[in-house]
Amino acid sequence: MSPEEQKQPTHPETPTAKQAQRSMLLTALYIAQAQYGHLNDEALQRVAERLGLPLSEVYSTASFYSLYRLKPVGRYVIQVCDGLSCHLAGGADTLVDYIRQKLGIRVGETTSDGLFTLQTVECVASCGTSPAVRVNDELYENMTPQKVDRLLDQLAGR
Amino acid sequence: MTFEKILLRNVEIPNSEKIDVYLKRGGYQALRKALHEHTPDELVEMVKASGLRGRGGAGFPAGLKWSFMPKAADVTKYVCVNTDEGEPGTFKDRLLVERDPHSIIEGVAIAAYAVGAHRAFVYIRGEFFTGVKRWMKAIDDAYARGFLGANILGSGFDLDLSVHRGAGAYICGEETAMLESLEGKRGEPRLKPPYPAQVGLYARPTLVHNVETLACVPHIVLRGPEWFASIGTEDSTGPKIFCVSGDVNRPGNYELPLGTPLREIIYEHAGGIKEGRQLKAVIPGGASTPMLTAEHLDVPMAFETLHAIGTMLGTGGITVMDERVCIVSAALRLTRFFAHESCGKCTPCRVGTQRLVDTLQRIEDGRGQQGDIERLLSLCDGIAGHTFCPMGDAAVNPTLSSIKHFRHEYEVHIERHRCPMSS
Amino acid sequence: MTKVQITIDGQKIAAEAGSTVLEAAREAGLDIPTLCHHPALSNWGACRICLVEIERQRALQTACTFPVTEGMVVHTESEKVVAARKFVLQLLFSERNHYCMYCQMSGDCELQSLAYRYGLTEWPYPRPVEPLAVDATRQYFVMDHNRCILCRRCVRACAELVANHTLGVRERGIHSMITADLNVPMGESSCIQCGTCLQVCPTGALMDLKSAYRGRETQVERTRSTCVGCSIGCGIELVSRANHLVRIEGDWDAEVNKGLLCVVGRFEPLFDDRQRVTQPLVRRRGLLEPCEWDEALGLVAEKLSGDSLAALITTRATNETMTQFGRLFRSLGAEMAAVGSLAPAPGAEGRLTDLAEADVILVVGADLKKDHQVAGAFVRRAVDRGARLALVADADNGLASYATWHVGFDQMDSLVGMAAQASRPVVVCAADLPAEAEAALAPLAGKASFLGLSRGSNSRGAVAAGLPLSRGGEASARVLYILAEDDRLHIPRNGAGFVVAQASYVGPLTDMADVVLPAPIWAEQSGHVTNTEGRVQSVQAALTPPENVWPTVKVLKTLAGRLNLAL
Repeated sequence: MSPEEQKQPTHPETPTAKQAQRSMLLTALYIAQAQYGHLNDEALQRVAERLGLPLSEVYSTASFYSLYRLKPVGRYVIQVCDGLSCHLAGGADTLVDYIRQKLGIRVGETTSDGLFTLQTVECVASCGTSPAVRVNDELYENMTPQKVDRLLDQLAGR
Repeated sequence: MTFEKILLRNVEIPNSEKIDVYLKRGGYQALRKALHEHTPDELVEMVKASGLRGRGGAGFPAGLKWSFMPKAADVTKYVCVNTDEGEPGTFKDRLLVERDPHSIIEGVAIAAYAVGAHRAFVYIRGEFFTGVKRWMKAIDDAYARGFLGANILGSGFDLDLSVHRGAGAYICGEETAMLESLEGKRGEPRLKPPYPAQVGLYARPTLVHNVETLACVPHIVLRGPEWFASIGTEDSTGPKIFCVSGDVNRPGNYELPLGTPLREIIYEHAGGIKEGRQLKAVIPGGASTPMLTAEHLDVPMAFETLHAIGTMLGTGGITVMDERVCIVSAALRLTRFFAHESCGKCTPCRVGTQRLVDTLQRIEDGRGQQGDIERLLSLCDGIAGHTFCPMGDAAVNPTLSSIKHFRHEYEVHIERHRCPMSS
Repeated sequence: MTKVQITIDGQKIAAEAGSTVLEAAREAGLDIPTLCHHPALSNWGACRICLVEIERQRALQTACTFPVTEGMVVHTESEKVVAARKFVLQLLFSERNHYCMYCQMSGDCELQSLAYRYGLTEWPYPRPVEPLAVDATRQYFVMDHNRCILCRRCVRACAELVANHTLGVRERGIHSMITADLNVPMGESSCIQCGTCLQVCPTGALMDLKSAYRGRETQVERTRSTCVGCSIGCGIELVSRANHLVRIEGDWDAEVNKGLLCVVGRFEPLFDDRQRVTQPLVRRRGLLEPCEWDEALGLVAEKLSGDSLAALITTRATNETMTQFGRLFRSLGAEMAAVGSLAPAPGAEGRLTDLAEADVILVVGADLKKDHQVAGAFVRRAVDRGARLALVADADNGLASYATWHVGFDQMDSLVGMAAQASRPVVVCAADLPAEAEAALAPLAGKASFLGLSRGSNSRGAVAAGLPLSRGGEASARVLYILAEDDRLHIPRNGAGFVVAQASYVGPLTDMADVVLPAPIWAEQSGHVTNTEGRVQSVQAALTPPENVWPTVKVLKTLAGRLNLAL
């Protein structure tokens, strides 16, 4: 771009180009995460370069939010809601125990075939239809061990 | 008792999220009326007269918020829609966004017109994947039909609306943290003052509203502020969606006038306690609000009446706990949530919430010590009122209110070195 | 300035409207404690140690952020306030492993002194048992996370003052940690080791390897001076103890740098491991041998009065030394030069502060990440604020990633044309530019303000003393006199028959010299230097030179006396 083309008005409207660029960070991190599976150094570096942001700002922001994964995870991330309402509905503990035994992993771990990662998460606003489980971005409500069985089998392609 | 559904009038209609269904049900009439029959100032006055108070938790009068926005036309202003519903026990905004997004778009457009904003943003919780898709589709359709974009309905008013997806942080429900997140930063609250109405998104005046608040606006415009104010109590007007969950027979969202007694909501609408058990404790307005016991069941669910008995209406998320529930474990679970969601900016919240969790955990595990209850109380005392944002005040409520009502149960935990509720 | 009347702890105060309660209190000499607050940084309000009670406010408020209003009544040490502060301190001490006994900051630590002030005598909460990492990957200072209170002064300093954005915070809540770039060890990060974070750290989390354990604040002396690391002339404080330099800090009140320093000014002088010259030396049978001043000066005076003579001086020398040098060698008819050069300024000469107002900054030929680094920080800050950087420089220029435009000298004209269109352009020029580049700047005369970065710390002082500037290699004479002091000059002998070196350290110059006269280093003598903006600033001696090392000016004067020159 030539200098003339880049000339900006003296009193720029908001968001300025810089602000608009910065506002794209959360979206860019989602895209990079989808491309790389998790936000490894290369993914974060690319986001920083693309948006013209310092590495530290990208890392600080990415590590702040719980939906960004800075470490590798399985193809399916099973998130069991650990909120009070799901707990009261017999959720979290029962489901977590069941999935742990079925997959042979602890919370935070990934199955050796790289298929499933088990996590607990805070309230996902499904308290009226609890217990709730999220797998990647899909929400499953009124869950029972039987339903979990079917879901995991289906995901594993069995 | 039945109550005419206003905010939830569409949600059970098949394909209610589609623009054609919304239009068939009288949708966007309020926007047309607002743009063609009212001046922005009139709309501000109407919302003031309706008595509408924010449905996100704080209950601030909406009309007053609108009137705080600077009048000058040459200042860029913004409207932000807070769809960061994360308060445990609350699931009404997700329903509205997934099943009736156009009612919110209509509310946003009217609010933006009233305060002179031409750009609005939806901030939606990252976990609401269906909600994100529904928002995007609804916005596209609203643009295509001329309810958004340039010269809306031939009125000369322009408004752009876009969706910004959060990424998992409860604190972004706090309006200034939400603005930070919208700007692509860590969701850490900003200093107040200045308030968003003066210095908000991109340092410009910004009106921030919860989804349910905005969903009320078209009805106020169509049916008049007097009609709205006739619903509910004097200080808490209009309909409210109560989210009932926990140990009840029919958990779900119930739209009722503000002021409906808690007992009626739990026992009539939500079908009472499971298997006829006794109610032990109930959180009236989301995890941030102090819990109540059976003796409070006749309280009308309104801002002022709940305030009078030391709790809050909050989001209207009612969580019911029956006699089998260990209160220490419930307080621990709720407090763990706040510790997990602390942004870490200020000392009392960052460290204090974790110390609460440590202490609650050891009591629940049977490792409680004499003096732990006092330690919990002094932690609550040290955190409340001393944090950077309102989260500290919220985070102490589960502990404080459970000790207030169930101190004996804490003592039994400590004396017997185990949880009396676990077998 | 409008004033408002407020009352703090019963004392009536006329406070400046728009100031904070903290500023008003400090102005009146009242001490409200702070941790996350630092006057050079943005108001943060997060540590909560400065909470005060303000009448008619529902909750306690942070003094560091709360604006004063007419009639406000503030209580800074009420029972509620003290309880809240004590609570904050208890939490901080429970968060990390603050074990003061082994900490080098003990005695000077802001956290520790508050613990004493508020009588923290017990641990109500369990303390962490797992030690955190200590990051010792940087050359001059280390980060000990065990002593960090997450006040983020370092993060804000790195972003707001240095605009280098190396430091950040990772994760959130109780898991928050200070981190660098993509969570890498500091030594592998983009850190430029300016040490500003170290200077603002309130605890022992950031530890200076040189000054650690070498003296508490009450045991050291502080001397305000000027850095001669480059021609910016940053204001500094020399921290010394028992005639040793312990630390160098940026002077927050200095107009030029406002507290900033770079690695050259802050750390390099402390790590200078060259061997000092402590007495006069004379070469005999090829070897330098110690001798008395009398003998050495006699020999030098004899050589100066005879043959063709060239005299070179370092531009680290003070104006006073330059003047004396000029007088002596001018009257001896010597070919004189100071080793440095000025940058071109075809238009109005600007100041560093102009960068804060600039909308376009044209940097020509300078790598501000290597040289004049503090100017680099000001340029980066301007870019953060929205100014655009136009860079005429090699591809590997250290500020390349901040530039909107980056071209070589061959395409310089387009950027000059663009800068001419800007409303407040500032041109930053390196010295020793190609002649064509200097000529190409002509269209900006009268439009831009020019900030020339001269080579050599005090080249402007040399010019003012009537000394021509040179690269130092051109002089050819029978006798060569080199006044180097502590400068690392490389001067060829060029066939000179006799070489005198007035030098502080053993090095290539003393290796070739026939007579070596010991010289003080910059921190050992007082005088003035003129920075690249033309600002005359004071240099103050913080140390006493070794016993047999004479002040440079005294040597020059004595020589003049020996030569019977009345100067």
